[in-house]
This record gives sequence, C-alpha cells and structure tokens, in this order.
Amino acid sequence: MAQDKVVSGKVISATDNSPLPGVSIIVKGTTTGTISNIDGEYSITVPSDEATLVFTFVGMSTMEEVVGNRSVINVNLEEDVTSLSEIVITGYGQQKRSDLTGAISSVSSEMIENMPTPSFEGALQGQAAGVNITSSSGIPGQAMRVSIRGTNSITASSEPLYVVDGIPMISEDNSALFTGGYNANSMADLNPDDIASIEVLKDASATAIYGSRASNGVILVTTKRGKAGKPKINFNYYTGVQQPTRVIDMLEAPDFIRMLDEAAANDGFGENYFSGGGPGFNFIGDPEDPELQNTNWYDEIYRNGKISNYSISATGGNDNVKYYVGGSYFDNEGYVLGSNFERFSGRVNLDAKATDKLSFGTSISLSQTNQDRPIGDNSLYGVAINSLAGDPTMPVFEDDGSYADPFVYWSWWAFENPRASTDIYSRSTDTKRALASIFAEYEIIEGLTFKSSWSGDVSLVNDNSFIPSVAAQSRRAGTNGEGIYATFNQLTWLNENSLTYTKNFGDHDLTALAVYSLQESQSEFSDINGQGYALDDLPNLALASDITSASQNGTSWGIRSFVGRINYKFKDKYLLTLSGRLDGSSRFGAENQNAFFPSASVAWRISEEEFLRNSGLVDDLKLRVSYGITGNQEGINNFASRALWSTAEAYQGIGGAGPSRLGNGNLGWEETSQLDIGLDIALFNGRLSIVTDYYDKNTTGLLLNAPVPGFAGVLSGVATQNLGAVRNRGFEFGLNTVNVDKNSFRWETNFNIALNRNEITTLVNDTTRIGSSHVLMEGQVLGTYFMPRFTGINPETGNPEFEDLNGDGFINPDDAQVVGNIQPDFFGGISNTFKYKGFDLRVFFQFSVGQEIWNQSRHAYENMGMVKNFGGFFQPYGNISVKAYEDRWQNPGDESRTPRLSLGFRREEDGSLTRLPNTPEDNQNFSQFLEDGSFVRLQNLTVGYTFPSKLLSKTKVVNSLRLYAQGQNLLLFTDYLGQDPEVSSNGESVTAPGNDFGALGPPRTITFGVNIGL
Amino acid sequence: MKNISIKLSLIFAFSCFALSCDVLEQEPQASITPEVIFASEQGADAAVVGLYSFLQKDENYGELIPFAMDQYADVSTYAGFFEYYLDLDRNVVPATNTAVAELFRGGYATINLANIIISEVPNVDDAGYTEEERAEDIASAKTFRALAYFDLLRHFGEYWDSSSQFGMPLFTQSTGGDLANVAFAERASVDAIYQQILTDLTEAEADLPDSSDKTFVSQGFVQGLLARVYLYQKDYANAITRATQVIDNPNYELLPNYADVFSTGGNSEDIFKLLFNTQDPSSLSTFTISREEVLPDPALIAALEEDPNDTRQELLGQGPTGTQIRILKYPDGAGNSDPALVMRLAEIYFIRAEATALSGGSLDDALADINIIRERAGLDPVAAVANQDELIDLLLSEKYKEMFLEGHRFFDLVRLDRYDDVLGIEAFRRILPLPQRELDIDGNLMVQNPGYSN
Repeated sequence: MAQDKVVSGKVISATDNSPLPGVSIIVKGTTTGTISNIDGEYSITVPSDEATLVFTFVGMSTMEEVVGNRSVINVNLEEDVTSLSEIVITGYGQQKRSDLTGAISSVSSEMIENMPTPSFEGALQGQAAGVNITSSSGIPGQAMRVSIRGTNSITASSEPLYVVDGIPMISEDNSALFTGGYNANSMADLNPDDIASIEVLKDASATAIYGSRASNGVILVTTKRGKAGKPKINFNYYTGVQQPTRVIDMLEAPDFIRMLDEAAANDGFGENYFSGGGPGFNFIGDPEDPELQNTNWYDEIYRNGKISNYSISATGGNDNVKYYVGGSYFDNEGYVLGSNFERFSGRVNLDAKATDKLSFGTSISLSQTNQDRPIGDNSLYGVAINSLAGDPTMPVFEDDGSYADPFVYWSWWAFENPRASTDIYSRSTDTKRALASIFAEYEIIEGLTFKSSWSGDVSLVNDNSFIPSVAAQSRRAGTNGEGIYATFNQLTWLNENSLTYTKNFGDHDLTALAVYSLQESQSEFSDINGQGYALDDLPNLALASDITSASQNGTSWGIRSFVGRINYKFKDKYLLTLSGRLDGSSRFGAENQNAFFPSASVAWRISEEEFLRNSGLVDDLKLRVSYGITGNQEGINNFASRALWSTAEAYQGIGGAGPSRLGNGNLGWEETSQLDIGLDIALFNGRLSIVTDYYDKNTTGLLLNAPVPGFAGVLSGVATQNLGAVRNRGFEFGLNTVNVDKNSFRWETNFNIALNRNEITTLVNDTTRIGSSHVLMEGQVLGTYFMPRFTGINPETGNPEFEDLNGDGFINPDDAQVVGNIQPDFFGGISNTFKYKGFDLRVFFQFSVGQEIWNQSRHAYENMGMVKNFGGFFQPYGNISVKAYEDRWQNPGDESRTPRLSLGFRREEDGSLTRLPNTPEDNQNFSQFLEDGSFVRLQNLTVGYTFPSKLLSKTKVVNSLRLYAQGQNLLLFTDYLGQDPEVSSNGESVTAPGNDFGALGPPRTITFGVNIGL
Repeated sequence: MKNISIKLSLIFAFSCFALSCDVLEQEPQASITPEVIFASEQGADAAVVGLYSFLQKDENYGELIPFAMDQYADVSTYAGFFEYYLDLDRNVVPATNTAVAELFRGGYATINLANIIISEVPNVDDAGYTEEERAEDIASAKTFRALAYFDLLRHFGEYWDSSSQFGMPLFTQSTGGDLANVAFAERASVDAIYQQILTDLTEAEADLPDSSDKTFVSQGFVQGLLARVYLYQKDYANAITRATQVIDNPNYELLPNYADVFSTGGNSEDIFKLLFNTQDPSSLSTFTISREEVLPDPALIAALEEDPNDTRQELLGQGPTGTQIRILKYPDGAGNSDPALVMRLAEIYFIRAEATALSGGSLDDALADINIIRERAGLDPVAAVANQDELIDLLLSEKYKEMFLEGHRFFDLVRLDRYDDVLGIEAFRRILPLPQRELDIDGNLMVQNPGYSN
C-alpha cells in the first residue's frame, strides 16, 4: 500500500489568468475531493503517485492530471467551447447539457442584460426555437404574448408557467382598470439584470415535473447568486430614445376637403360640395386658403420616448457565505404621450454553509412599479383610435386654450380630441411585489439530501383612474368627473420538501428525486367608482359627491402535489429519465380533483460509442426521444366546477340572487400528450452545433367555456367543460456556428427556425363564432378569421364586391367563411456576432412569415369619404390615408384594390337620398381589411467596445469597462399597411388574435450604455 | 448543531403535512350554492328579487326589449358602431346578430329562474314562511314566466297565428342549475305558448296583491298583461274586459303632465315600472345620452313637431356637445338610474281602442280612448273617424308619438299589418331569426323561422 501524500496548487483561467475559486478537484475513481478557495488554491491528499486528479468547473473543459512525483500541481483551465459541460437548470434540479434527455433551450444573462425592454420576455424574442413572443402594444409595461410550440388551449391559459428560482410566479394581470384589451405585465416586476439564465422547457420530459401547469411549456428564470471570491461590483447604465416604427401618413387638410368634394361629386351632389359656397351648411373650408388649419394628429400624440436603466450589483463571499445584492431603477417614457413605466427593484440572494452537511439560504426580491397608460384601443375615447381618422381641419386647442371638441368639427369618427385623451384622462397602476424564499438543505447520508423551502409571492396593486369634468366622456354623460380607485392584494405561498439521492455504481449513475409540494393563493380585491367632482384638480375619491359603485371580493385556489423523478445514465452513453407528478387542484370537481402526469425519455449519445469516439470530428451526437402527459388548469375560474348563484342580483336596494354558473361535477384537467424526437449534433470542436426537434402535441379535454343553450338559464351563455381537442405538430431547428476564429477575430452565427401546425381536431359546437371576425372550427387553426370574402373592386363601378355565400342578396355576417388565420408558416431569428479585440458587433434579425392580420383600423382611415347623415347635415366619418387616396378607383376600367370615393349616399334626380350598401363601415368585419402580416425585423444591432484589462489595471479601481450603442427594432420589412404587424388589439387573446384596431406597435429604441466592473 | 438542523428540517416537513387538507378546500366569497338559497324564507325571497334583477339586464328591459325593435322600426336611428344595432337599423338582421342571441338568452334566463322558484318554494323547510307568502312568491314567478314567454314569442314566434308550429321551446321544469339537467327541445306551437302564458297569468292573478306599489308585479299588472296577450291573440272580447278592469282600477290614473311619466319613482300612471339606481344601473341612457348613438328617427321628430302644442316634444332635446337631437325619456346619463316602463296606463287605453275597433265595436268608443291620450298631450280631440282603417291609422300615429322608445312600435306595425307600408320589409322579417348559436348548439333541432337562410 502506497503512502498518502498531500498535493497542492493553484487553478487559474487560461483565458484571463484570473484565479478560479470553486473548482472541483477529485481523485479519479474515488469520492475524495475538494474545492479551490477564493484565490484558486487547493490542497488534497492523494493515495499514491499513480492517482489522477480531475479538475472540473462550469463552462471550462475538464482536465485530468496524473500526480506522479509532483507535490504542487498548477492548472490552467481552458474555456469549454463546445458547451457540452454547461450546466442547464431543469425543473427541481440541474444537469450537464450532455446529460439532458429533454428539449430545453437556454438563454444566458448576456442575451438579457442591456436589452432596453421593461421585462425579460422582450429580450427573448427570436432567441429560442419554437418560442413565439409578440408584444401586443407599444405601451411600456404591457403584457407580451408568449407561446411555446403553438397554442394548446382555448379558454384556459395558453401562456407558459414561469418559475423564478423555483417559485411558480403569478403572471396574470391584476389591474382592475379597463384599458381596451391590454393587460399589464406582472413579469415586469422582475429586474432583467438580476437574471443569470433562462431555460425554456419545451417537451414533456422537461415539463412533466410541473404536471398540471406544464402544457404550455415552462420558463425557468434563475437569478444571479454569489460566488466565493473578491467582492465584485457591477454597474450598468443605459439611456436612449424611443419612436414608433412607422406612422400612417394621413391626408393634409386641403386634400381632405378635396377628397370629400370628389366623393360628393361621385354621388350626384355636384362639384365643390364641401368647399364651395362659403361658411354655412356642409362647408368645411377652402383647400386653397393658406390660413386653413392643418393638424397632423399622429404628430400631436407621439413624442420622442425616453428609456434609461441604472443597475448596480455586488457579489462575493467566502466558502461559507456567498451573496448577491442588486438594485436598479428603470424609467421608460413611451412614445405615446401619457405612457410611462418605472421600476425600482432590489434583490438579496444569500447562500450559507452552516456545517458540512447543512446549508441554507434565501432569495428575496422587492420591487415597485408605476405604470401610466393612456386609454388604449377598443375605447371610444382612446388615443390612437381618435387619431386614426382625426379631422385635420380641427386644431388641438381653441383660441381660449381649451381642447377643441371634435363634435363641432368634421370627423364623426372622433369622440374626443386625442390630445385631451393623452393629457387629461389619467390611469395609473402601482404594483408592489415581493418574491421571497428561504430554504435549508441537509445531507442525511452521503448522496441523500433533504431540502425544504418556503416561498411567498406577494403582490399589492393600486389602480387610480380619473376623467375630469372637461373630458368629452364626462360631459356627454353629465358626470362631472369620473374616478376609479381599486386595490388588489394577493399572497401565494409555496412549501416544497424534497429528497434527492445521487449514487454512482461503476458504469451506472443514478439520481432520484421525490418532492412533496403545497401551494395556495389567496387574493382580495376592491374597487370604488365615483363621480361628481367639485374640482378637476383634486381627483381623490373622497371628493366625489356620488359613489356609483363600490365592491369588495376575494378568491383563492390551492394545489397539492407529489413529484418523483429518476435520472439514470449508463456508461455516459445511455440516458433515461422517468418523471411523474400527482397534482390535486381545488378548481376541479370532486370526481376529477387529482390527476397523474407521467413522462419518460431516453437518449443515446452515439458520439460516445467506440466507432465515433475518437473520430476527432464529432464532439457530440445525441438522439433523444421523449413522451409524456402534462396538464393545464390555469385561466379558468377558481370555482368553475360548482353550481353557483350570484348574490349581486339586487333590486331597489334589496339583496337578491340568481343562477350565475352551471355546476359541472365532472370538470377536470386539460391534458396534453407530447412526443418529441430530437437530435443534438456538435462537430469540429465546437465550431458547429445543431439542435433539432420534431414534436407532436395532442391536447384533449380542452377546458372550454363552451356555449350552452339559452334554456340553461345562465346569462354568460357558457359553461366550463372539458370539450374538444387541439393538435400542434412542429419542427424546430437551431444552428450555431463559429465561422471564423483566428487572429483575435471571431464571427459566430446563431440561427433558429420553427414551424408549427395547429389544428382544432375536435370541437363539440363546431363553428363557434368569436365576435364578428373569428371562429372556432374543426380542422382549422386557432385564430381563424371568419368573414364575408372580399372579391375585389368592380373595375366598372369602383365599388367593392363580396361573395354572397347564402345568396340572399345581402352581404352580412351570415355570409362569413374561412378567409385566413393568424398562425405563421414559420418564424425564427438569425444573429451574427463579430468580435475583434475589444470590439463587438451583433446583428440580429427576427422573422415571422405567413400570418394574417386583420387591419380593422383601415375601415376608419380608408373610409373613402363616407359621411353620417343627420337629416341632410353630412358629418364626414373622418380623414383617410394618403395611400388610400392615391390608390383609389377613379375611372371605369381602373384596376384597383381601393374603392372609389363615396359619401355612402346618392342624391337622386328628385333630390331624395338613397343609402348605398357596402360602405367601409358596413364592411369593417369583411375580409377586405385582412392582410399578410409577414415581416422581417432588424430586432437588434449592437456595437460595443471593451477596454483592454491591461489599460484598466492601471486605474487600480476599474476591472472592466464596456461602452456600447444599441438599436432595437431598427428596421421593419413588411407589406403590412398598418403601423406594425406585431400587434393585437385583443391583448393576449387566443380566440381572437391578430386584430389591429388602433393598436400601437412596439417602439424603435436606440440606447447608449456602459458596463463597469469594479 | 447537527441535532438542531435535523429538528429544523422536521419542523419544515411536518408543518406542511398538517396543512395538506386545507389547500384543496376553497370556498367562493361572493357566490352561494342553490341548496343554501332554498333553505330559508330569506333565501327564497332573494331568489324572487333575483327575477326583478334578471328583468333589469341589458338582455331584457335594461336595454334590448325597449330599444331593439324600435331600432328596427321607425322610432330611432343608430349612430354608433355596434354591429347588432347597425343590423337592426338597416332592417336586415342576420341570425348571428348578438342582440338576437341575447334577447333569446335573456328570456330563458328569466324562465329558468322562475321554474326553479316554482318548483323549490313549496319545499323550503322554514316554519316562518307562511302558505300565503309562498303562494305570492310562486305567483310572482309565474307572472315573470308569462311575461318572458310572451316577449320571446313576439320577437321570435309567429304569434299572429295560433295554429302555427313556430312557437318557442317550452320548459316549465327546474334544471336545478346543473349542466347535467340542461335539455334541448323542439319548438312548441304558438298555441301551446299562449296557453302556458294564460295559465300562468290566471293562476297568478288571485295570489298577487292589488297593490299601489307599481315597482313590483301586482294583480293590476297581471290584468294589463292579460289584456295585451288577448289583443295579440285577437281575443278582443277578453282584451276589452281585462283592459277595462285596469282602467277602472283606482290605483291607475293618467298623469296630467306627459313628461312626469318618465320620472324616476313609481307614479299613478305606471302599472309596472322597473326601477334602477346608480349602483344598479340600466343601459338606457348609455345609448341615448352618454354615447349619443340611439337617436330619434327624422320621421319621429317630424311627427312630434307636426303640432306645436304637442307636449311630447319636450322629450326631444339637444345634448351639451354638438348638434344631435336626443330622446330624453331616459335622461340620466350620469347615474343611469332611469326606470324601464314595462307597462303604463296609456297603453291600456290603446289596447281597448284597438280591440274595440277590430272587434266591430263602436268606433266612437275607440276614438274616445285615443282622445284621452291626445288631450293629455295638449292636442285637440279628433271629432270623428270615417271607418275602421282611419281609426287604426290614427291609433298607430298616436301610439307612435306617445310610446316611442318604449318598445311597442314594431309589434304594432306587424299586428296591424302596416310593416310593409311603413318599413318596407319583407313578410318573413316580421319576426327575428332564431339565434344561429342556438341552432348550432342544438344541431338544428329547432327549425329556423321561414325565410331566414342557413
């Protein structure tokens, strides 16, 4: 038996020669090991000179050293370019990427930091294959729509589950204010700079561990934690400007009048109907008059938005205590007047090692956000809506300084002066959010660890809204000012207790996990509406003379779960994962309260087989297959299974009650089975890597607010039932190449593309219409447009023509048919990163092709001269766009897609008026305004310079310094006629997406920033 | 240290097991189960109040019953962008129109609640709930059920022809609020629906009070409704009898001043007025005042301005912004507290006049009833009419000016066969199509009204 001997040394990074703390050093084939200290130093006892030391560290190539006769072994660890040893966070654990059997996309903090967006989802756009992220609005702090591998649900939520440091985060909008389809984004409560990595779990193998909430995929957010070593302080700052992507070019005042004159002439009213004669009936103005008022309404409501972010963090610690402390302030004035978002946030993450066996820690995040938003679309008094067709001959202000009133000008369309909407209608939401958890971990015996954690997600929301007495909404109703004050508070607590067992038996590696989890959420909300204010300057509800309504209510839900998982690995070649979760939910009927969600997956690392192992060409070749079942229970009412009577059925102040919800004792989980076949390839020493997946997801027992007959006696007309099925099949492809890497020049390309085919496979009530534009229909995709079909402009008459499907002589919604859908044929992104010495350049394009957008706004700004007739007094509908004016049909034989100008009334020989059919207003829900929404967007362009550390070391203070300029959404290539194809006036609606009705597109943002490390 | 940490872990572990049963047991905070409702008199009374609340909905008298068919007729025009009003205004109403769906659903919601009350009230286990109180609650429910069937029938059924099969599906049993008990049915005949209405009303009549509180259903309202139903059925003798019964009831007197009819409280002219208040608002002024979308038809303005002495002109007026003339019967844009007039005495005079004239009775008697209404409006009485046609013309024109935007005009034009002259619509459009959504759900078990495609 050989002598034990002590070996010591220092581990440094080959990249920058800095000491590496936390490197694991193990004597090969034994369990003897140690970890390098803050200065990268270690000391270990080895049994003999034949012993081999294995040095492993995240992100570095593993190194082996035979001890021999040395007693000091210093090691330089190289950066691992293949990223196979990269640690990937998984549900309730973590794994080396090479050991994964599921489909997981990772996005590192570099891709999130410095992105000028209020919330981290904005930074994920186009980065991960199969993850489609769209912003429904350009108002800062509004929710984004995130769909992973297609849309699975109709009534229940289609948004993924967000898990932040192990806490399923409540991601719903808790504001009580009506903003016209737009939801506030509660994910914006999180500071993106605190995020270390984001993992997107896509297949059942990865997600089933979250069981009943995993059908839509899971997004794991891991925040930064302390590392042993010298304290590091990072300061990040950026500031910049925002603008709308595009502005719709509207007619100037003289052409507005000429346009109406032509419309009148076309309809038998003679020449100069609106400009002849002089002041009086139906006289708008003289187009030749140089004094003619000319207002561009978009110029009036848009501004140069501002965005800036300050964030500072400190990390450090020793072997026993590690800390991360971060604070930030984010401030964004949107490009629309009246839209602001700001966030203050702070985070403390602590890890402490109490004994060799016991460790504990905490993650605490506190934030406060304030959002001011103007009234959105779908509101009569909305900002964009009133600008759409605003009368250019109307001034913003009258001579006396008051807001001009659209009712005395020439646009029937406008209900309010858009500037009054931005300036005097106020609505704001303040949110205080705490996400906190404490945890303790104890190693019972070697390899067996018990972990217990308690977490809380607390959200306190205050809403304030005020419409002063001078506003049109208040004047017309005679309310003398209207105010709303609302509160929402929610506590969601989570307790999880887990046992993990890890064991190596020669060629066999086994990890087993068991978790018992309880979660409960309780919320309380109230709102008060008042009117009759003495003064517009004091919008406090205490001063409202009349409280029109006041209510208080609450709700709650709970989930109890048992979770298990086994990871097994044989010879590093054959990998197996089995997982299962038994969930019980308070939401479901007694019959179906519990459900089990299993998954199984296998992977074969072909590259580890003898025939490939030493090829030198193939770093990794792995085939993955997984199958599993996940569930969905989000988005339905907490008491959807119960027969309920509402007690809000009062009459004359006497309390009453009436049926509000049909009981459905059989209500249960929506289930999604998913098959995934994936192939991972890495070649040429990390120069080329490919991740590709095929999946087939079948969702059955859809939680659907399905129509019930009128006889059922509930006014909602629906009951939540498990009806119908949806299928999503698709293909994802991700490619990463290092094109050039020599002479300090590195060029890297990342490309991803995804195809998803969505289909409603079973629907009990086939052809369920959603509003006047969409339909749910078997064999069609979710988000199918159902409208009368536009067939073109008659070249002889200049009138639009439509298919009279039922042949009754009228074109109306009874003639609706499938005319398109919102689902893209494919989407993805491509980024090229160039690095030369200290310079870096990143060019990132995002694309989405084949989706159709219903540009309903066009019925307003392409009204083609239509008027409303008030007993012979003609009130024009509103202004039209320059493009519509230029493209209009003018003479018989003209081929055009834009109809002739027309008032919508014809004057007959005898002087009587005939109302003409198919005016743009009549046709607003017809397919004439359906457009191809395909686009390619230069989503990001960044140029940066990192100062050489040699230079900085002279300062003795600054360790790193980078300056950069960044453009977000710089260029947009699309045939779409509206402001931006990436919009939805119905927010995150799954059943009626893709509607653009005065929607505000995402902003173009240019920022300058600095990253300083001390 | 080691022991402490083990203990700590155990505390963590056990505290949650102790909570485990709780998280799956959650209770709603603002709703209640039907079992609780019918456990006491207080609960049963709440359900009866619920009937009034259902009648207040937009689907019923809170908006659509007074407004939808007047929009179809020549009472109002629409200056907004809600498709359902635009369809009505254009006189081409597709089966997918949302007002059509809501009127249907609103009617059956009232019927469903009435069915539950009628079936559950006898079983309420509460000694303090007397037989008289139970009988009155059941009578109220039957009155609501009859009103709802009648409103459904005249919107969707061929009510002018008792032998027609195009009535409405008939449900009189309770579903108990459970999805499993919801059934489909074919349309019953028009006659079957009339029989159900008459049975309910005659049974309710005795058990309801002859009350001077016009804001709840009463014996007088049941009698007035009987008069209206008999008139639609062309049972003129019974219509005259019932109308006379109401006119002779001292609880009901015409108000001297027309504008006072639309005051917010109950008054002597009311027979049944549904009250609203700011906390329990209607949508009536939302459309006429706040949104300025339901506006008087030029023909109505002309008719009211025909005689400068006609005091009913006061119910038209300009708004604070702009040029539009608005109907001021529901003027409270700020509070939305204007009442809906389900039935008032003026209508009963018209019913008796119409029944008298059409049954071959004295045209002078009929004219006398119409003159009562004319004189109250500040007009001179009409001395004589030459024949029945002339009387009907006069009646239609007077009722138009008297009861605009109270939801009568369209049915009058159809009943008296003037819809083609006045509105120029085809015969099949005398009634609305059945909602497409209902036909989709029941697989076309109900047969669509003749003339409507799909």
